[in-house]
Amino acid sequence: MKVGDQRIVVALIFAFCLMALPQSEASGCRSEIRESMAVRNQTTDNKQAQDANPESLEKLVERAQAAMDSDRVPEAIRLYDRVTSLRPDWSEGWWHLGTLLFDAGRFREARDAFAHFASIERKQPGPGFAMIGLSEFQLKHYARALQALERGRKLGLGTNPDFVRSVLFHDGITNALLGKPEIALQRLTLTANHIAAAHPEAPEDAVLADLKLLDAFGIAALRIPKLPSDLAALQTPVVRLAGRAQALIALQDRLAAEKEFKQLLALYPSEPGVHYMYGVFLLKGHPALAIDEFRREIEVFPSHQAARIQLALEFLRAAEYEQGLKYAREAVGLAPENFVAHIACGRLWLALGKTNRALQELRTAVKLTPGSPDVHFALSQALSEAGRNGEAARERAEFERLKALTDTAERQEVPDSPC
Amino acid sequence: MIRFLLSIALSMAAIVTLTVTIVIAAQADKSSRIRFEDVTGRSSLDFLTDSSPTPNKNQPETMISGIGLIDYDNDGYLDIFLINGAAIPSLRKESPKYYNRLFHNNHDGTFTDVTERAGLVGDGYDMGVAIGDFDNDGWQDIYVASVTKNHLYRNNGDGTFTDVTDKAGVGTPTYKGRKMWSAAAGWMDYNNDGKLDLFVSNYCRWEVNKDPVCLSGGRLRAYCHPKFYEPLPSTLYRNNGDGTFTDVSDETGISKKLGKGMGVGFNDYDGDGFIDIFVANDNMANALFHNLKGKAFEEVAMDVGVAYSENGKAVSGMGAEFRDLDNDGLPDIWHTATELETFPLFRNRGKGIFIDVTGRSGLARATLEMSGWSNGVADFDNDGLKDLFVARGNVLDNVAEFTNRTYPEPNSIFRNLGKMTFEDVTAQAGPDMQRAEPYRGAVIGDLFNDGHMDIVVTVLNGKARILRNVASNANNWVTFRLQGTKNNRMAIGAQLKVTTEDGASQYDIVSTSAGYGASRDPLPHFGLGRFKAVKQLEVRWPSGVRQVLTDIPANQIHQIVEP
Repeated sequence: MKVGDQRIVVALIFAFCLMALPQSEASGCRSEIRESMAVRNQTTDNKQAQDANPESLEKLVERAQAAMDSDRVPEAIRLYDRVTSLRPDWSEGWWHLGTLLFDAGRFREARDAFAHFASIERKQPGPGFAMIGLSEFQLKHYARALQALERGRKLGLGTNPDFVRSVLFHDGITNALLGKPEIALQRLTLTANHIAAAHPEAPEDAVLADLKLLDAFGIAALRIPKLPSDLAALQTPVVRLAGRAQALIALQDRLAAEKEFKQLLALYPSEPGVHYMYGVFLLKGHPALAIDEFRREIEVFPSHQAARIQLALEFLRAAEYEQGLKYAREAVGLAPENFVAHIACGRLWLALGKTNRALQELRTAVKLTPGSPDVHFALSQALSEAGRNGEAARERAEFERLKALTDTAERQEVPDSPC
Repeated sequence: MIRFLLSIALSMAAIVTLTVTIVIAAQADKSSRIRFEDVTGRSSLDFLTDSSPTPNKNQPETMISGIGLIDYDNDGYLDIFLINGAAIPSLRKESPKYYNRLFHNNHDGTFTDVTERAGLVGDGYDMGVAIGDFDNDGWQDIYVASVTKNHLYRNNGDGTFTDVTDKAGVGTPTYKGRKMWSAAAGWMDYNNDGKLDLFVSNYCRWEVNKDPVCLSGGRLRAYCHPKFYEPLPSTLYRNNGDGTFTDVSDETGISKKLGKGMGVGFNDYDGDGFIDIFVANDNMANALFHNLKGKAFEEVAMDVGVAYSENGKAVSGMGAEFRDLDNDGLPDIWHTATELETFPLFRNRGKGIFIDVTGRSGLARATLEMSGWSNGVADFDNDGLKDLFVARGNVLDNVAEFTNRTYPEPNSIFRNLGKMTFEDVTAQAGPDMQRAEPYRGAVIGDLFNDGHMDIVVTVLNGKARILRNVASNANNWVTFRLQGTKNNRMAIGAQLKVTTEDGASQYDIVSTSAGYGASRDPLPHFGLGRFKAVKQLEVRWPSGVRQVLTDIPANQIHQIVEP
């Protein structure tokens, strides 16, 4: 079967409406759903479903489709529910049922319908997982939402740019909420690139006009574990200004970003996250200045673990191992669950010739995040240094396996136009 | 400077001791500065690279590099062959401004353009060059790697060359039915049969004016990241000895590994007597092809630790050098990359394992901000330690419009301080070393036969330059011109070990392949510091035959013939 991109977009548009718009405006979304329904084609699976029970099923499908086309949502739901119970392996029926339930705000049932869809759809299950994620998001099951969104992303979201952009946006804000701002920034950067690609005449203007995206960027860059909708009014100015800078970084306009940073630092020199964010920006160009900014961040926010990790990695790169180790150990103390802190610590111990201590840290990192290629690479180096060639080879193999998966996912995420 | 040629023809088992007076000189002059002077103006070297930059940002426009040092007339002085681009979209050399150029060394610091007479103008969009005497006739030949058709020019020995590409069968390395974009190439004898084989590094699938639209700064079209292009395999041609070659990429396993190949380096990393091949890949894992006794290759970069930078990331591999940098007899690998990646240095610690020492060598911090292209390794101050040189320039011609970086960058020199540590000494290397340009090509050789290694660099859409090594110190040197008899005539692949009176040894390989698309001085050169003689020279010829010479005077070029 072919998942109708049009339908996915409609579902997503509706999701946005539910999140962002008052009820009266949400009804406008439904009219878009109606329009989109008219363009659906009957598929091979649809035909097969009819063949299974020629008389009753064919009529049911026709009635269900007619109800959906006429925006008689409760009736359409009831009919698709019957169709899918008669033919549970008809994935398109589950898809329609899921989107209708989603439209009706029945997210728990929508999630279950999409779960059924994803379990039987062989060709394009990715959008189904993404819809599970969006349903879970509406249910405020954020960890589950993120899991499903990520799975959908890895399996492929199809080619509809609006749908891909929407999923990436939700992926980004959920990552930020759950304390993974670095990943959030990656996803939001891809979102920005999609927006820029859709507006070749003025890509920067289009991105900067998207205030929700700017807020999401700002939240992730300042490492605030919140959703944009939960942002206090008092926080909005600093977050939005930070978001503008981060959006410009995403568009690789570093000169414009620098100007935004100057303003941000002038207005909010004591706001947690600002110096860290600027430090990350400076790493690409002025690493010595970046170190100063990370240290300032620690002054503002003494328990800032990420600033310490950045310092540790920067000193590692500069072969100032003792300095780096000090920050890495502090970071491990502040965030024993942070695998990057353990990687930094392990690599620094290794550089200092303390192979056993390095192995200890890196094994902890592997336990914390076995799916990270980086940690297996670092461990393989330590094992190689220790002369444990067999184990090193196994870690290398795991690194390569995971890296191949990551590379594949990244290739799928590459937008058509900007780089 | 007066140049001495000492011809030493030895029988197979002979060990000849040259009786010389060993004078214990002062300590090596460690305080002397490496200095270079731009002598292009008075050299009459007039060459402008033309890549035909277009608004479409065709990828090859930013990548032309090739420089070859070749003594094409066997007068004992290195001549200079420079590679050039072509018109876009025709990819043809539609006017003389696109010609490749051969400059004859007049022995007085000047050069004469002899391109037309030599028959080397070329016809396509060229990238790199490899010099090697493939037919063992004593005259060095030229291979040109190209976006379009590659070319092999046989040296006729009379100042002219004949294009023998089609007969040789080396013009169109092919993948999936299409000629590949070849970025660089190198000569080596992979099966030790005495004939030079040809390795070609291929970059990516590309068609003129069909590059994706890549925007930087949200608005400016820029050269795309390599991830937007499909990778290609490298190509290995076996020399049949009759003027023809056979593509053995499949049967040797070379074609199994896909990459975006740029610089190529050859050395025997595991000491098994067969030449291994390192390829620096652009934003993909590097390749190290381990030679399985001349029959096949296995790709082992990940296993031995040279595939990725020390944080497990693929970097923009550009130029590559594969030589012993810490005088332990084990060849190390150093390659360039672009800004924020650092230039990885892999130390060969033996037993087939390399350790990434970029950070502890001092190169990480020093190179973090640099965009490197071709590179080279040579003992610029003759203190017995090989130093590093890199030609620099940002990839993107419009980078300044959306970042605080600049397109032109100055080149850099890193002095070897011993124990695999290096110091950036560019600032002390003279005013001509401070000039920022979009450099691409670089090659190292002794252009003036004065025992000081000079550098030729190319500038993208700018003028090529000769940087003469004017370091003045009391340090001594020695250079060897090896001539194979049973092995290949240029002795490519021969390993040299030089030991001085204090028992310290240095190592090098005869190889013209270096940097990115470059072909360097084939004569191995060693700085001797205070020592006025080499106590012992050991040559391991590619066939495995060992030759030992003793008490060889310094400050000369010695000719050594295979016994």
